[in-house]
Amino acid sequence: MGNDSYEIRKLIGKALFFILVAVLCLVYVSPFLVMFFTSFKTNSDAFTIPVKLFPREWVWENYPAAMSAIPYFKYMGNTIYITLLSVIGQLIVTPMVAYSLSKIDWKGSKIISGLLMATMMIPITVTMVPLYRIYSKLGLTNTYVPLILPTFLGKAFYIILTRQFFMGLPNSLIEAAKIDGANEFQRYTKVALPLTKPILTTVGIYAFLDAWSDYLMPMIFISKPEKYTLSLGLQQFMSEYSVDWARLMAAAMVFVVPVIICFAIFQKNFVRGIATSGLKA
Amino acid sequence: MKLSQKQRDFRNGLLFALPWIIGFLALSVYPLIASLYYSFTEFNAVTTPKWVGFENFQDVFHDPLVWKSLRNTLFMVFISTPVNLFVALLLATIVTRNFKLKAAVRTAFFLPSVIPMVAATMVWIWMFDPTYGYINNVLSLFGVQGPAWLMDARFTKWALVLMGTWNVGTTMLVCMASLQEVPTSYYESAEIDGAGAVRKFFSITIPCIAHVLVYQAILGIINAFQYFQQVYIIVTANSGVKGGSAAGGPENSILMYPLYIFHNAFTYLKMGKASAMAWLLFIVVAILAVVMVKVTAKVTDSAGRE
Amino acid sequence: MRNKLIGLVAVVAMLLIAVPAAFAGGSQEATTSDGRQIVTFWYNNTGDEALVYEQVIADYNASQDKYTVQGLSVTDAQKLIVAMSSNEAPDVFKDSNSRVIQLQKNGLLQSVQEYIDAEGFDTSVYSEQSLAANTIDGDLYALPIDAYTIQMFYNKDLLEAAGYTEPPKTMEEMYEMAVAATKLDANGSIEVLGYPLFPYASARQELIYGFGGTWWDENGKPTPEDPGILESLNMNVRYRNEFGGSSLDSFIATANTNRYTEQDMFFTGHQLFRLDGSWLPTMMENFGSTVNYGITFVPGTEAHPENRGRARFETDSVAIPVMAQNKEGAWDFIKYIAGYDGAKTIDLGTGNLPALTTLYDDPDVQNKAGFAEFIEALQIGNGVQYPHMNDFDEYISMVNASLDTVYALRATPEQAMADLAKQAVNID
Repeated sequence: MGNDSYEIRKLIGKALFFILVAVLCLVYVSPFLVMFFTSFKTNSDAFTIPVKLFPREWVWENYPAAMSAIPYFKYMGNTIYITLLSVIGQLIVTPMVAYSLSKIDWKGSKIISGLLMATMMIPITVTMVPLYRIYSKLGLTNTYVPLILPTFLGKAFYIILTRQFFMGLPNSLIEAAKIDGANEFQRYTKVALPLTKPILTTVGIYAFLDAWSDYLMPMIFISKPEKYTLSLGLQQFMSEYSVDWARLMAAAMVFVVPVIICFAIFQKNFVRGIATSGLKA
Repeated sequence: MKLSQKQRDFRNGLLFALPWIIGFLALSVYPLIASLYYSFTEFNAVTTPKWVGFENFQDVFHDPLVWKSLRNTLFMVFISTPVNLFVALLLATIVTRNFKLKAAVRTAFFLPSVIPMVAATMVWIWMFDPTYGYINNVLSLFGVQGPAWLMDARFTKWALVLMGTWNVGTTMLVCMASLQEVPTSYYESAEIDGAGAVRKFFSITIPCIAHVLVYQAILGIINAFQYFQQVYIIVTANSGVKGGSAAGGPENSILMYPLYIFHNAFTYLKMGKASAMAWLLFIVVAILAVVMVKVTAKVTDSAGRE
Repeated sequence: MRNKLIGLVAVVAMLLIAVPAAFAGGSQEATTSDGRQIVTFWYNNTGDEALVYEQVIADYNASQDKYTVQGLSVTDAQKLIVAMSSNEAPDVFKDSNSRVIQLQKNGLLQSVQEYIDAEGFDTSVYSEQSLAANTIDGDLYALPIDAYTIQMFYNKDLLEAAGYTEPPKTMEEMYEMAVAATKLDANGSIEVLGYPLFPYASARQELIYGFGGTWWDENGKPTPEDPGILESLNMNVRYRNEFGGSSLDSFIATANTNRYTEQDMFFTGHQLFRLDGSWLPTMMENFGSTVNYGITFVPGTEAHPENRGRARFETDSVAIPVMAQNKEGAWDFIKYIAGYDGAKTIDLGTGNLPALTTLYDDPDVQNKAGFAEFIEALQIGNGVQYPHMNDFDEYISMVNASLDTVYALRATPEQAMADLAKQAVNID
């Protein structure tokens, strides 16, 4: 009898849990659904009351229309170019600096480690005006240098992540290589670097997402439409006059899909990498 | 001349860290100093800066919008950050339980975080529309008449908070990983003591993952101080025909500090004032950073003792 | 093996950065291969309107053989500043006259007066208002290519249903009609909006100008406590109190979402009055709107009937940045695009009114939907011009924020405007 009511309570608890999970899933997925379905509606369908999630009539026209309203593939190309270089930059520099801060015993490592967190806290808006002025004096506005160069100089957050990772690696391997006569550079490339694959995956993913969706920096530094990124291109659908919602959603879909594909491919690394990234701070 | 081991280490360390050092000097130190200098000058981005003494600071201190935008930003720091943390933790506790489709659920929760902000914000503007938007349409199913989220100054910031909770995937994953590291033996012994789920959560889970929460909170706070893109896009979309809206949304209720700096610099062409504002922000963040470091030290300390 | 790979990647990466940077850093070519000088021109239109500008550019290039104009659509105002500060400014650009004033105030524009004086260029073909709009301290800084003002559109069927046959001539009449025509649905949401609260920009401007108010005096000083402003806002607040602020907010938010689409509130018969521009009739035609509408002057008041038809006057103008490389070519192009043929193509293509009085009687212009009525309004000549303020954008943002508090019924118009006056004390 008592056992029965326990069973029932457990069952109800389980049911409630699943309802909660189902509702939450719906909540988290719904903006995608809205984006997806609206992109297949005509504008008048999107604006018809009562609002329906599904298109009354599926139309494909928004996609070609959105992609010809702005030079879509050009912007896509620009974005890919910037993203690729940014990821490469971060992947080269981050482990190097992190190695110096964790595996080389020198005075600067402590100082720099302290400064890393501090630089993370400087808001971009604080340095925005002077940076803008430097780049414009050097004639580098309207080039991708202001967007890419910083990625070759390391980003504090990634360095901190990687440094933590290195600190978790035993020194004995590197010491052994040292005894074998390997110099610092060899020790780094032959011993340390091959071990960093998991953390570099994480850094690469973060760097990819950052560069792909960056908006403020391209907005400030790029003024010629032919050099726009997709973020800026998307903004063009919101003109002063009217917003073409159905096309905007189609354009957003095409912007988002590469990220989702990338996510689908790297999902395991993604989840594992990010999950472990915040553990030891 | 042969270098000693110490000298060699110093040289190598320096070489390996060189990119960051250059970046630090060129992209942080120099801009900070230059910004300080600019804050005492007047210039419009094109002309050369002209020294004006403390004029910009006087301007900043007497400008009610500076304080309003600072309050708006602090709202995001102190309301949105904890809310996000709470939601992330809630989602994390769900996905650490074992059930079918767990991986799919985790993906559903995480996916919004990979969506580029511009696209996500535009979708949200659509969702917040009082007539066509899904939020008010769902609310009306429950008999609730939803507000004009992005038009009514009482709701605009809450709309941002709501938007923020959609984007907590990274924090959720980190929390999930740390929850998985809590030894199950702790729970088992608590169960023997007759502790309920809530008590277990607060007396075991929270202390065990406190250091992770603090770190995530710090990252959240840093992001909240940078909050810009979303409001810039919302305000642009809302401005309607030929500037029908204030630069910071209804009653400037979502005029975030970075947005106001941006407007001063690039819309009003007051680069000097923008720099003065930037320095004010820098000081606020620095003070907060010191506090945070103290708190972190304390938390990690007490976690270490357990 | 591994470090070779990394080294290779690094080298490739550096090249990828360096090569485009080297190309992009330099200034553009000054001439084409057939010896024509290049003139760069930026306009802030997109989509179909951009095509109209490209058409005019092509016409110009075909009309002479000295210059080749290269057009570029750049919508974000901040981009022009970026370009100016890094020596990549266009030779000539098109923007609103308010922008011309702002840039001139910052010392960034070349006066076109020199060219006019040197050539004896006849400016009398432009309407006086449109010249005044681009004249700063006695010198012209741009030539207007179009003009715009606002009139009142009204839905005849809704007006008739509310029991009226004639559109209002005074704000008081308009209020009465607006209240009579406003309809709520079963949930208390607004179905028909009577009072022209949307677009916001018109509520800030024409609704106030009709009362004789303006936001600034002739010296460009803020005047938020102008009695005309307060009178107008009190009427606005009366309407809001009558129908509930939050349902009006919802209506306006949605009107903003679907503005100028085929579901636009006026195009679909949900708005009785709409204060809007000369492009509206063409849009309605294109969207196949079946609304039976009329166009009339913006009302005056019972006390001041002479304010009838008082509305903003703005121009789109073409100007030369002070750092432009090819000012001669820029001026030559300006004369074309702001001249009869160029301006005609643009005005008809973008639905904006002519700044050239010589275009007023052009049959194509007269035949364009709504243009005859709008040109009549232009000929009154009492348009409200932009002030010559340094901090204009900042002030308008303040005004909008204060109006929000009034509209939300969180402050009386008197309180809000007194606060605004305090806030705007440093505006000049």
